[in-house]
Amino acid sequence: MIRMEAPQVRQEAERTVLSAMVTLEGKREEAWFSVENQYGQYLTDDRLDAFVVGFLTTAMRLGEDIVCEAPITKRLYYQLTTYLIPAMAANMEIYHAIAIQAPLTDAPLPCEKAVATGWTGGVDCMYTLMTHRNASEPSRRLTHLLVANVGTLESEDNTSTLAFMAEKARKGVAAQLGLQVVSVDSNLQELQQETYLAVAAFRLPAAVLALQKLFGVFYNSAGYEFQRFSFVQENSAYYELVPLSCFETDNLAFYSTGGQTSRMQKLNELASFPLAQKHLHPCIYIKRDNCGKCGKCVRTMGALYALGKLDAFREAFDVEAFYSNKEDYLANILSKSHSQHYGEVLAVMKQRGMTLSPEVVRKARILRAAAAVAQKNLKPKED
Amino acid sequence: MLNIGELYLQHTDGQVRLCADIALNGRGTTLWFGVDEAHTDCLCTDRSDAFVMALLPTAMRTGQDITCQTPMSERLHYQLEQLLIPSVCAAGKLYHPIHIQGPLTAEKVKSKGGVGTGFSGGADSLHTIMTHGKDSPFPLTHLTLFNVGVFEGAAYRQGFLKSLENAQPFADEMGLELVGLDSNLPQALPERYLDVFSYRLLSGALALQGVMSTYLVASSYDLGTFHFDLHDSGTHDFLLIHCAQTESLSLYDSGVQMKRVQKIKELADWAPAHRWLHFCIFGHVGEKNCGRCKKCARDISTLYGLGVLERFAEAVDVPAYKKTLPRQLGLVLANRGESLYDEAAKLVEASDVKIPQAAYVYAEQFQKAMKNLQEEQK
Repeated sequence: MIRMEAPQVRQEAERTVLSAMVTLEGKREEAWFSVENQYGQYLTDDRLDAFVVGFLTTAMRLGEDIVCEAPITKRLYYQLTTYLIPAMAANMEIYHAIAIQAPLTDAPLPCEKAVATGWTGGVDCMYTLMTHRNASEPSRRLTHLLVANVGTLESEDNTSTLAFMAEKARKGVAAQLGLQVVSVDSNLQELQQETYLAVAAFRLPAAVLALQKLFGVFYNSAGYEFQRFSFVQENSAYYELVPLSCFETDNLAFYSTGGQTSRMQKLNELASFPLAQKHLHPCIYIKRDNCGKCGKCVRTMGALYALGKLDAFREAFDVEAFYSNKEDYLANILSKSHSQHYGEVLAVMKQRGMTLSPEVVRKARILRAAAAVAQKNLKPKED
Repeated sequence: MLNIGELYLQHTDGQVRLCADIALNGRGTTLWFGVDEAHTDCLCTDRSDAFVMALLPTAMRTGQDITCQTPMSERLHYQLEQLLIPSVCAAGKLYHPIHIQGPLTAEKVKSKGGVGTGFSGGADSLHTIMTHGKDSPFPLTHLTLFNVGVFEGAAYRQGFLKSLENAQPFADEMGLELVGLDSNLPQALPERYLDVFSYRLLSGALALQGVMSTYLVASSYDLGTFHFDLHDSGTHDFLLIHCAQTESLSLYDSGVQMKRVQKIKELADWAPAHRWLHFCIFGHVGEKNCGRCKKCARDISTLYGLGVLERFAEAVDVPAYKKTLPRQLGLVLANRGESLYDEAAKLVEASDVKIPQAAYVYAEQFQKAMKNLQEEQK
């Protein structure tokens, strides 16, 4: 059983903290979310919605019921217990059906009806920004960017990395578009040893639910097309349509945005978006400019090259370095062609009549062999 | 361009119709949804939502934008334009991207706050009713019956009225209010029903925003089979339902979390289902299942495989089924290319039921016949 005590809010020097004591596998620890003090008034301390969603995958993996000592939203409870939990348990073997015991509430919450999306600077969220900054429906027009530390950051000091990301967003795209930036820090990842990719569709919404008095709409940028929908227990992005629709409350709607479009199509459209040309940052090194060497940089530059749009991104990438080492970049991509986002790059190159030289093919073969050896060496030896 | 004119009410023979004049293929026609006069306030007269949803497949198929004069819900507009239309257009060649133009509003409509679901007597529908009783966070207040395309043939309207009459005792038994929603969608809009049935059901729910704030669409398929088959809107109705919500109406794909056989298993312990379960293609709700059609073969075989068939003696001619067991099982096995039949076949195979050899012979013959029929139709 996972027991959650009533949430509380306290103000610290620069941040306001929403916390609840959570007993997980016999250990009682404080789980918390924190925001800049100016957003402290929006932390939702009269219900446990954010904590239930934040711990749901762990509870289901362990097969432990969740017992709440404070209310959760009635609608959320209905959606989790009727739809999400049974569907996940029926379709993914690591998850088990669990119960949630909690007092329910449908008391209305005040809400500023802000419209937000999660922000990293990557392709998917840049596409959400581009398509929603001037939405024709006023109630769906972006007002806020949300920067969060809910498991995706892997630096030595995630708190300072989060502050860096928020500041960069404030001075960059947010300043240009007149958007507000909210940063949410949390210790969810420290308390639950989950692979972030497997739980991403739960963690960011949990942070959003902590701010239900602020947000009326949240856009979760889809990493995969809806047509690829599948219950993949290692990667919640494939089935995020389901949890997102189940996290909706009377105040707050969640959407998976961009799932109607392929990554290549997104990049093709972003190539005409001046903010993307300057601020696109898919790189895994958050505090640096795009490194041009990590997997995300390589496949994004390769994709833009395949689309004939790389030159438009000279402010974001070291385009000269790409052209000087084009064979190496393409060999890298070819060596990972089994992976969807890399395979798409090669498909577009083929469509556009671009061929790979024998040298690229040879180098790709070497890279593949090297990767296989590394993989073999990484496997724990059996005594 | 498909233009939806201002909505207006028309009283005809004890029925109130919510009407909109539309220009379709260069010809003027009137689309309408009708209820009996006692339910007049169920109709949502100040949103074009129901008409937009009903026309959407035709508009996408013919590549025509929609315009409307009466406002539509802002949330619905966003979801259709940003999510649904691009998604189904990307999934095949049947539909083309279109836009919807007209005044938008984010205001909530005046609603009685009811919780409704359709009543067909089928396993999906009954399971939704069973699981949304007084103990549910969202207990049902209303049952609905829509005439939006499911009733076929020259006597389609009589079929609707007969089903409505037959459904009333069930609604009384459950203590729920029954609302019949008539329409001329099947005659006015030239779409194949299986392609568009989810759109049609949702248009019906949107027409009733005056009374419903929550509506449960009983799902045929489980989420594990979600995909985009544009010739069966049920395969992706989870997305469709999510996208049809408004500021005033929450929609759920009820039962989507489990397989059909699981629903039937749970219904076996619910007494009202023993009399009312009606999965048959023929006849009307409240009448005995024919026991000869494809759907009867599938669901009666499921009951048989579960070992609970005798409980349903009021709804099914049990001796007749047992007498024709090889043929019935053969029909299920022959259709196992369809996921719901495959589920039923797997259940029977895993049960104590011994499948007679003759069932496989029947299956082979049915498959041959179906193949020949398809060849002829080509």
